[in-house]
Amino acid sequence: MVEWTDAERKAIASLWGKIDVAEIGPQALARLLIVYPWAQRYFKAFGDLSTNAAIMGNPKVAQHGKTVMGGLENAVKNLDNIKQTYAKLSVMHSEKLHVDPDNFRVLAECISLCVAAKFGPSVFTADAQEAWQKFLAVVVSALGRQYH
Amino acid sequence: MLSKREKDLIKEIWERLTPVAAEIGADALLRMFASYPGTKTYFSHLDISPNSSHLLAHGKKIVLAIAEGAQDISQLTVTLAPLQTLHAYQLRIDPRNFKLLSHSMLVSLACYLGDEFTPVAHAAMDKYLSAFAAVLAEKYR
Repeated sequence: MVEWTDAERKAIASLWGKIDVAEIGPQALARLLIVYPWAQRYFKAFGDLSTNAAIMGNPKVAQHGKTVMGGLENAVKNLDNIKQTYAKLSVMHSEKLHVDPDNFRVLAECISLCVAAKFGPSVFTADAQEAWQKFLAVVVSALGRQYH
Repeated sequence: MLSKREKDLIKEIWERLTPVAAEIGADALLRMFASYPGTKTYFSHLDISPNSSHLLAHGKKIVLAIAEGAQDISQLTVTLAPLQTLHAYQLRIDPRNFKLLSHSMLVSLACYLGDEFTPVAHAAMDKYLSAFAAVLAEKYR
């Protein structure tokens, strides 16, 4: 069971309240594909990913970014039960999509960086970052849990 | 691999950050200590509370070394030779921690640069810091 302090719950809720899923999601996914281009292997059906501009303008990337980021809503609402909440998604990513689970960790880093760039140091303080990264780490772990 | 454009961008960004080296460095360290408490074990001899003079001095040292490396990335092994020896034989910081500081440094950069921390800048910085960390660890074994 993950132990969340009151301060962490508050920080996560506060950040989530400020995040525009339709903005941060596409940015984070685009960054994953630009900064770690080998991740493009999972998105052959997305069309043109040949340049940074193509990736950043690609509507399928944007849509998927929004979907993935929106999925975090379930985790925010179920902080004490993230493992169960993501069990089905974990099976899907393992058995159907065959995604290397290390990509979840890397995408989480990209999300944190987009949040940092958007909100700056007064909102994304060291403590806010700690809570947010802990939250994402739990989601990442839950997503990787059904792999075997 | 870093392109010429990326090397120029990295050099330019670190040059610009040199005047605030202490602030950026201290910010990155604080973030690393908060998110990865195991990293604090290397600093039991210093006062690493926010705004402490030790933290600012140490942050400044780190950022200035990174900025110096950025002046001529092709010469990283030469530039970092003394620091390689220091880390391998004296400090012996587990090199897995370099990744944690690199990530924390990227967060500090993202916070301070905001929109300027474009995907291109992000990719270039991530590559540079990875290369820096790899060179730093070269003498470990």
